[in-house]
Amino acid sequence: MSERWVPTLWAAVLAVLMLGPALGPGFVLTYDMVWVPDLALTSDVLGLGTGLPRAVPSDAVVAVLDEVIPGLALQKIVLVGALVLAGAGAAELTRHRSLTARVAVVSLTLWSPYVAERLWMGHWPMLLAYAAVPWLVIAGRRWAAGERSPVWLLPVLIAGSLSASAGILTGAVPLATGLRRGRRPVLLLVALLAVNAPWLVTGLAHTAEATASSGFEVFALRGDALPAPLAALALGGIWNTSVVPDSRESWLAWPALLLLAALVAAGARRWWTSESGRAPILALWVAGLAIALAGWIAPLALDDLARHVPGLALFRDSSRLLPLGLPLLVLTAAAGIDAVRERLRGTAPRWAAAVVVALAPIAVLPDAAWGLAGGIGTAEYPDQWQQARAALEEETAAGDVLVLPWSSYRAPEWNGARPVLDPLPRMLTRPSVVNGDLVVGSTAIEGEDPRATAAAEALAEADPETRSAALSRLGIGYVITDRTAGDSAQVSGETVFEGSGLLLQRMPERSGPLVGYSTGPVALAAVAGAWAAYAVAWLVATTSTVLLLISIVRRQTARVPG
Amino acid sequence: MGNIIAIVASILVGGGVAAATIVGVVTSSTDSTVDNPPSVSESTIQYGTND
Repeated sequence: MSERWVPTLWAAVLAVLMLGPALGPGFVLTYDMVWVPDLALTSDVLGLGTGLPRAVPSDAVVAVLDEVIPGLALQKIVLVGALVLAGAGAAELTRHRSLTARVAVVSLTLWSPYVAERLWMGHWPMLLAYAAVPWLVIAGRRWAAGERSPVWLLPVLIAGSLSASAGILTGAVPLATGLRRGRRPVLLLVALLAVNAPWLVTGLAHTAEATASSGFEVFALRGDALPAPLAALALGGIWNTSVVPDSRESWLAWPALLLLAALVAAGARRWWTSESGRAPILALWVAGLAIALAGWIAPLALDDLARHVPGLALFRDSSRLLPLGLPLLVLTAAAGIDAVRERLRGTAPRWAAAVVVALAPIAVLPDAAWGLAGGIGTAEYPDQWQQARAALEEETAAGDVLVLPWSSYRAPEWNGARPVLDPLPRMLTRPSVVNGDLVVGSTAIEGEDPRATAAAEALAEADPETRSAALSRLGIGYVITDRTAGDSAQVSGETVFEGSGLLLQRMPERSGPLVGYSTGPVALAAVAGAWAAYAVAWLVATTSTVLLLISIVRRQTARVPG
Repeated sequence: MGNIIAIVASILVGGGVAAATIVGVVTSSTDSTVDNPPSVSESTIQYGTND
């Protein structure tokens, strides 16, 4: 086996070790990670619903791909793929370094607080964006050097831009590393616009709601066991303390930081003197840290500002963009490892140094192993969820679905009581209206969907009949209630499906005028254009990937003697 | 003599880190981290905590 594959193999070993039971049968459902067997391509999924398009284009991509690959298998491929690509990308970025250094940066990249926390939080598009970062640095540098763009650039851009935050992260990297005087960036800009068009355009179509609420203080950087700025240096510090591994809350956070700092310090000089294109790498690190710290230093000022500046709330979970600093950490740590190796040459056995640097990131974050020590796992949907979906599919009456109880997160017993964004809306084949309010500690952040606000008012009516009539006027045709998820408002309607846990009711025919929430023709045309551009990007990426695979096979075949 | 000490020290450090990694991974994987799972019948489940 070629030495070149050792880091990738190590990345695969670490990915399996980290995911552990999450690779077993069943879906991984944790906080924002909601996968279902067959996601329907509804208007919500395309960003045409009344709520903010938070899962655009990730949901649409899953809805299309799960027609080819079952959702269950697709989720495993995405999770393992993101982790392996992240490690392999870090090794590829440092391919001029020793094998020890490349294996060590695989550990540092993959076994990082960022990966553990975002995995637990269910931010799988951010994990893909994280994995894309080193590859985009390589592509950007080639672009800047006047070389042809690698064939994999567009597929990596697509994979890394499956949400707004992910698109910002991956867009910044090639722009910083690839733009040089004399190089026309038209193609790069076109590619970036195309892969980010769906969330950009659907987001612009929801500008009014996007300024309605923010929450910089609630989602600000937290320090785990460290002061927040120090946690950010090691790519940790997510706002949600429920998804922080215990070791990050203990004294182990300090040796983890010191290990990284020592390697970076040992390699900083060597990196600075031996590599070109240092300024963009440094600028990305400064930008990632500055964004994370801004939400920590001045959350209230940013809250005020976000009420007037559409889109600023995208940065409220400010530690999401910390991977902008990943290239600097990887490049300097790899240089540091080689510097230490040279000093130890002739004194200590190589294997001992290799073991220490490859395993130390795991030793200081041991509870990231085996499904984050039980933090994530798998679950099978109850049979009646599929039955309710089938019953709704057979219905012919018009109208969307309202989901009860009126809250956004669940902790189903069949999911091991692990919190998750209610999967019911994604299980159904019609657009849905859900409560978008978020409860973080003692703070409640209001959702932005005006239709959900109107639905909440309808549910506050005095009796079930009046509630149903008010919901009908909002274009709600059905109400589905998860009776296992706590108390819920009662509505009156004909029962379409009833199981031990789920109740699906058809609302009575509308008696008054319909309160419209339709998308205007201009916005509709813009959204259609954005998805068309995105589809073209996918087409080009798919074609180039197939061509790449064919050329690899041909090269391999040509090498076989005889 | 110095060489032998360096070799022994590095074997101890390398072996120590390897042992600590295995012990840490196994111990944390067998201990449950979910100390207070949310009540399944609670209709308002928190998105997270930041205390």
